[in-house]
Amino acid sequence: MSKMINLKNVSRIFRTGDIETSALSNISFTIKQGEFVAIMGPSGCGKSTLLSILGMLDSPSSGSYEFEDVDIARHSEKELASIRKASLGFVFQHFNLINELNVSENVELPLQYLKISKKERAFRLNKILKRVSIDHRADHLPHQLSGGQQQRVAIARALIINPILILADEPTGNLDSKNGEEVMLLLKELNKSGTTVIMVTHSEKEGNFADRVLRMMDGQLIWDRSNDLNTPSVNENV
Amino acid sequence: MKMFNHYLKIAYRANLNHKRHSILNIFGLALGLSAALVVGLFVQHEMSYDKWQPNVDTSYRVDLDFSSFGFDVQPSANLNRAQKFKTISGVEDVFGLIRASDMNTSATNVNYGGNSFQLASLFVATENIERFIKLKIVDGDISEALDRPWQLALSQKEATRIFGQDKALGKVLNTQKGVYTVVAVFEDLPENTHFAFTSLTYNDSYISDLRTHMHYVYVRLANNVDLNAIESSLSKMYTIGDEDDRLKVKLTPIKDIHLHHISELKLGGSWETVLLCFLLSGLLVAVACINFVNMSIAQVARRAKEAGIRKTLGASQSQLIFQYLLEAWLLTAVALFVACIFIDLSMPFVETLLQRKLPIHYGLSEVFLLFSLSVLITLFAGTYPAVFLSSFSAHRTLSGELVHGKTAMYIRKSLLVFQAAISIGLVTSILIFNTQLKALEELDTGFDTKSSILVEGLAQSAVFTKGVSSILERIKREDGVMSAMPIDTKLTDGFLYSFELLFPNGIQSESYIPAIGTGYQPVKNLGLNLLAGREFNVNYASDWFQASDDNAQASIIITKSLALLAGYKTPQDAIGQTFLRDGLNLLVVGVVDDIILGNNRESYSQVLFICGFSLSTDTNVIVNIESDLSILEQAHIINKLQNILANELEMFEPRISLVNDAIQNNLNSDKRVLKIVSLFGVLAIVIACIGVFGLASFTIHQKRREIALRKVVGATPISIINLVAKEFVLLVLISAIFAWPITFFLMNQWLQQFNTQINQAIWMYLSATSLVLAVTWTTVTCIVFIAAGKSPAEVLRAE
Repeated sequence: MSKMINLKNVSRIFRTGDIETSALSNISFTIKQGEFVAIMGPSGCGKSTLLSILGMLDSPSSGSYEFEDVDIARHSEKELASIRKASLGFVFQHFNLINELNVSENVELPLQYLKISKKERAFRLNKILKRVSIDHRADHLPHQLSGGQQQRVAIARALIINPILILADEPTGNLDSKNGEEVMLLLKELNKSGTTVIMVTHSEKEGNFADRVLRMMDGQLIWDRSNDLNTPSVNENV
Repeated sequence: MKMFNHYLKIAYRANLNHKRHSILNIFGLALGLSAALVVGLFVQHEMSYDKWQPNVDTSYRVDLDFSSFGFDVQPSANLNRAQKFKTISGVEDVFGLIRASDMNTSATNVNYGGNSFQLASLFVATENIERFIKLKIVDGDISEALDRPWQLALSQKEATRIFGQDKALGKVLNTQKGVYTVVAVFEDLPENTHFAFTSLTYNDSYISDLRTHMHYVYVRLANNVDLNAIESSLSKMYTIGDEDDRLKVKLTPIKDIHLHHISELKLGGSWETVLLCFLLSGLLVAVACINFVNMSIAQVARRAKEAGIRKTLGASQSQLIFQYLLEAWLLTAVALFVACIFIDLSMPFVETLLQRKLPIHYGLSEVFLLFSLSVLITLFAGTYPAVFLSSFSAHRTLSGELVHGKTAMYIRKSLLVFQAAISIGLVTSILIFNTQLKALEELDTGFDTKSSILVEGLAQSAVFTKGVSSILERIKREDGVMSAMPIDTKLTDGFLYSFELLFPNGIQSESYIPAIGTGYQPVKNLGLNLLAGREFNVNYASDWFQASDDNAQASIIITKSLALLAGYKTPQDAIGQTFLRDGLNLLVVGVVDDIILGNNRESYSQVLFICGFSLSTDTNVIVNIESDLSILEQAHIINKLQNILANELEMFEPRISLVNDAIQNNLNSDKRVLKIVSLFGVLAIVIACIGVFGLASFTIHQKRREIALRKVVGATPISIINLVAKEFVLLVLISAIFAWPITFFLMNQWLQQFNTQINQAIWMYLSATSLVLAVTWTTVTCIVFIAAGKSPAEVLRAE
């Protein structure tokens, strides 16, 4: 498997007036294509911040971030947006669907920003809605769907661009156990078909779905182990 | 195009989902825009006056400048003298209009088919009229009406009034002195011209008169002439014989008359009113746009999350800006549409208020203009919210943090201060306007005419006689009539002529003194306050003007300030003194308290009344009636007077009015301004309320956790209201710091134009500020009540 992500000494400091908060401190790791990585840790440890940087929604204060062998740490917002919309899919805890758009319109929105033709959009939309089993609700608005259904819509939206990387921030946080299980199985299936998945979670049960777990504490990486006991630690230094 | 449809779709649905905000936004913007559009129509109409006349850029009215004599510019001159102007290089043509009733009232009384009419707007015109005025001839030939006497050209309206549906051409109208034949009919003059005639004729004796300066004279000049040099040449040529050469000719561009100069032909416009409306509408649009900004920002919490999602999915900031600008344009377009409906519904009221007909057309150019306006408003009001909303960090908004900078808050608060300042300024102005107008209404003019009727335009020979006048006796016999007296001047209009006086102490009056010709007993008939001496009395034979070969004399009654001017310390000292004017001995028999002759802007208190003498060709009669008569009884007397004049003098449709109405009418234009300012003031407050609503909504959303927590620990509703309201109260108080001095300065400028001015009292400013404070506090209270109704647990759980 080739290297997809390479972080070296990445730190992130937030400044509010005179107060500085160090959210991440000298984080270094590598993620290969096709991995399923869970980032875990207690509240406030910096895992969401790390996910934002990995998802190019935020930039590190220092350090380097290579994505497919290109250092994007100092890329502009425009350049990051360009990579993001072509390669990354996002799944959030609170679904983050646009309330004024129905299921079809929410799912095909990324394709509109990619300027995909109407015919191609329709084809992909149809396929993806069937894949996540939400096609029967295509004309419904988000508030007409259950939590599980909304998350499936969010996943469909993330998948429609055929991303090489999916970033999921507490994807089952707002779901009951049955729906949560369904979402995790879906992510696992995606990973098996070759999509790299990075997931933030505080649930051990969900962490077990991943191949590899990165544990964080107070902005630092304290653990980097494979879930497969037969596979050596990815990062022997942690 | 695909994204365009997508943006339109989401804009429509977003506004539908938040109807209250959308409706308030649209309503506020529509109010401001409708006022702006109406003002636009009004300004366009006012500025169009006479611009459509032929060769208007080189056409001028000939005015006479009496400023060297202590008076103003007069918008008339003598046509016969002005005809010589054609000999001056640069002057291509001269045209004149003479109001027939100014020369001879009886010339305007006509009979047809057993009915009697007065041609109130009959003018004698020179035959080159079509070179100066664009007339559309409907029937006949207008040159026939203007090259020989007793031919008439009528407007369509006048023809219909006299002849009904019958064809007017060829019809004859009888008068006391001759018979008119109708030889032409022309289309009614449009409203946007200062010319105002409904019938035209020719009269050589009027045109050849050399004495009067009451003709309306116009000249056409060549291109690129030196106007000052021409005026100088015309001035030299105008005065004849040993006339005072201080009299100057001034040329006024025809296209500027309506707004910038006096027009006696009909009520002119006012550049100040146009400017005021323009300024007020600009302020109102600014207030409405500020609202739009604040209301948009108030929805930031909801929209910020969507912005974050879109950025995550790949939208660039410019795409988001375009999306929000398109949403703003959609709202603006709807607001413009609603504004057009407001305008249609309110147009009758507006036309009455502005005293103008403002036709509305929705042609291609108007639609294009409206579209351009919508784009401009969108850019003006929508750019800041669009940039603000699109600048949020995707990461922070999606994680629930609403990012807003201090700068954004300062801008929004500054806008609210600006809105509040405008509201305070407008309300204060309304109070000052109102107080000033009340003071003018109650002003002591020095004469008491509360129960007086004025009959205008009678022939001098009928009533202005030393002996008994049968007409006056007939009038006095009517029930309800106390007395009647001829007077050649309408006291509320100013004076017709003036005298240069030589006082007994040998001093010449520096300025000309207005003179008023009256019959006997002006003190009684005009309600003057006699300070010394006596009235003009029929028992004193020398009172009435008399002239012999070597002597002319008349008695005069002068005002107190004229006595002072003449060097007399007390009124009694002036009694028995003789003033001289050009061989005319004027014996002072009485001194009265000062009067205000004229209107509230131009008035004179050094005045003399002269018995039995007048330089005017016609005269008026002042009829005093019983003071306790009802309106119906007054109308009955007026009807009787009309009958007497018709029967005795063959005067039809005479001008009869209550003198008090004329005094009130002088204030009409100021009352109109008050109404306009009041209307704009109310609109500004309503729109500002909407703005406060928007900003308060945002503030409450920001403070929702704090409010919920305070409720949990026992805060009362009042304390929560004050938590939110104190910020707004402070902003309104800050706005007063700006509003007060600016308003004081502007109102001071406005008050300068009046002879009598009120003082700007502090209570006016305090009242206005208090009102705006009260409205703001009430609006905030309403919103807090709605917000405070939510269960704290619900709010905190959602966090």
